[in-house]
Amino acid sequence: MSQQNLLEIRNLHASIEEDGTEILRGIDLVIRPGEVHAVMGPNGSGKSTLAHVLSGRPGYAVTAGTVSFLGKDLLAMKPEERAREGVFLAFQYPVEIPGVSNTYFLRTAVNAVRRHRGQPELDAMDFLELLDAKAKLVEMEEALLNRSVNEGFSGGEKKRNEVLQMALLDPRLAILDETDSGLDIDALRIAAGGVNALRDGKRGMLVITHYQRLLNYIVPDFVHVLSDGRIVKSGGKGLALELEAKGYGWIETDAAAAAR
Amino acid sequence: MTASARAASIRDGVDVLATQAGEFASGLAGPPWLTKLRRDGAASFVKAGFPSLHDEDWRYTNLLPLARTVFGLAPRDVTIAERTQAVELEARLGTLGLSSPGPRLVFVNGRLVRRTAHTLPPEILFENLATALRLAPERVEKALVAAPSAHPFVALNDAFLDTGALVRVGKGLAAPDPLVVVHLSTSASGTPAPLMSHLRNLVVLEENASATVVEVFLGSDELSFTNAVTQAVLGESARLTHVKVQLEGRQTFHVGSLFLSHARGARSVSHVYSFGAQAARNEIATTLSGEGSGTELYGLFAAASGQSVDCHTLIDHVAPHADSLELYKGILDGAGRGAFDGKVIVREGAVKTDARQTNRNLVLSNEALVDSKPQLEIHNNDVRCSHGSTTGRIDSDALFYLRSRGLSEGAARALLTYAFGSEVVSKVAAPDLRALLEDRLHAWLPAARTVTA
Repeated sequence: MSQQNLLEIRNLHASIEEDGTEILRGIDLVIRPGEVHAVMGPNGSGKSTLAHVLSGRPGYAVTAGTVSFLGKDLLAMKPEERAREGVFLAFQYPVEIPGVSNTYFLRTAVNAVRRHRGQPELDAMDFLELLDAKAKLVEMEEALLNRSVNEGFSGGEKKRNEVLQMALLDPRLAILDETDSGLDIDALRIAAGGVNALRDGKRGMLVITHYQRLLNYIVPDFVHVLSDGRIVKSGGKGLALELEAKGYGWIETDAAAAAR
Repeated sequence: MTASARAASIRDGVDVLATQAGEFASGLAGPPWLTKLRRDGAASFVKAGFPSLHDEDWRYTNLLPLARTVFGLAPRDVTIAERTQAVELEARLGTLGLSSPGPRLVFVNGRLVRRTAHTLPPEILFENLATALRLAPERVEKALVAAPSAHPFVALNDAFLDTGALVRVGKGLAAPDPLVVVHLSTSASGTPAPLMSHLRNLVVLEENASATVVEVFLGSDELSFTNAVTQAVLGESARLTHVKVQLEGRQTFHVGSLFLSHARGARSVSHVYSFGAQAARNEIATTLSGEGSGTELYGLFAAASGQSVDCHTLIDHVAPHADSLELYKGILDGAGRGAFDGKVIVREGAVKTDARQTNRNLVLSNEALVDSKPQLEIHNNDVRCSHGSTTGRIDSDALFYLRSRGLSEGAARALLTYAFGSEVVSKVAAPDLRALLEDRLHAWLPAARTVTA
């Protein structure tokens, strides 16, 4: 039995490095292989900070707590080491990188991860074959693969490019930071379709979203509500619907009452 | 290391050069105008002296180390040692992708050492300027005396005028392959002083003629001084692509000037890639005196610790309906220094001018320094002009994005630095030349990895 936990967050506290403002105030969360967890919450509750801290983005200071990923100390790793170990963050705002071709970037990333895993690097031809297969998953046009990374991409194209990267890098844990933001319903359906295709019973996912809408497409096993840097309520997928109907107000009131 | 003589003062350094120029000229025959050009050049240089940091046009270029070193001219005959060194250096071009057996002139320390056998029609001339000065000096007189001798290094170049490349393309003709001029600086064994060379290249394109001229500067890592002047005269509707690749050794002083003049409808494209030398100054002065003429200037310069690279450009819009486009980028690492000083003048009569100037610099370390001085001087209202300058560091969001995909910080920095420079390299039309420059940019990149954020 005792399948190893994929991700184990214990009492995680984190502040903004620059001014010391505490954003995460004691997060506890365990994700086992194959599970899809949604983290919901109002603006400013710390959702994106959680994603950033887990991916190692500079600018945050972890002041207490631990995060272990497959038994290893995730917080001790550089961002690139986390990526190679199998943590993937789909950005809320993917970055445009003029002058770097998308295909070149994707191959460089894939080979960085393959090297780490002791797999042989892919040459240009082998990679294009792999890319071709994965691009179909998110209905990515070839033209976008030849352009500079995300440069001039629409919101939907950028998010599809994120899911494409996820498919190529084959992570153990995928963190989706507000993947639905700025997407119309068609773009959302395509992006979510790509994510669902990557649910294989082993890969874990942490889906961060403000709105329940995304969870109609990526149906979670667990839903957590984040408020003021803490998980104040956890439940099944039904909790998301409840939040949709009643808003976040009642949770925050309950949490405040409990704290008192 | 060879001990080099130091001039007691800058004044002394100037006097030494003047004496050397006098001795040099007295050993050369030639028509009176040529003797006068050399003598006047020496006199102008003595009068002006080395520019100092107090001169507005030279405030970014510290010439003290250059002025205080005594350089010597290589003896007239190329030594066996130089020949051997030249072969080794030129072989580097082969591995850089410039191995095509096209027309090529190779100079070592200012003397022609090799030319490839090539078949060009008689109306396309590609040879040593010194040969033309001996056989038919009247054919190059007009162009040579027109060089702006008020410039101290052009005056100095006049004083030592003899060798370099002469390109002349007859009316309506197109030179089929790039004409490649390789300037090598080496320390020839046996010479007591470090060497200097004063090269003069002259490019004359007649009406409707076109050519691509590539100048490559390569050198060994010893102290040397290169002073190169290239004059390009474009006839009506002529087309010139000029590429300068400066990859000299880390102890070389390099001063290079390119003068472009345009008749009606003539168009030029200039590329400057300056990666080498201890101190390099790349100057371009382009005059759009023909109606409807145009010029595009692209430049990429990079400097690491112990290097300074300055780029100075002047675009002079004299005639109406002319256009200019300029993009210069600098990459500074370690304690490297760089400067972009670009001036666009639009004269009163130059109506309907379209001029766009951009300078962007990427600074990779805390010690690196770059100055940017874009200037627009407009003397009429009927124009479209823009200019912009930005200097920044590697974008931290882009850096994190790449790292979050598994790229090491060094690899991510190198990739972003490469991307920054490749925008300029991509403007080079010739594929093998573009490959060479991409390769040089790549070779330079490990420097980007030594930096930690």
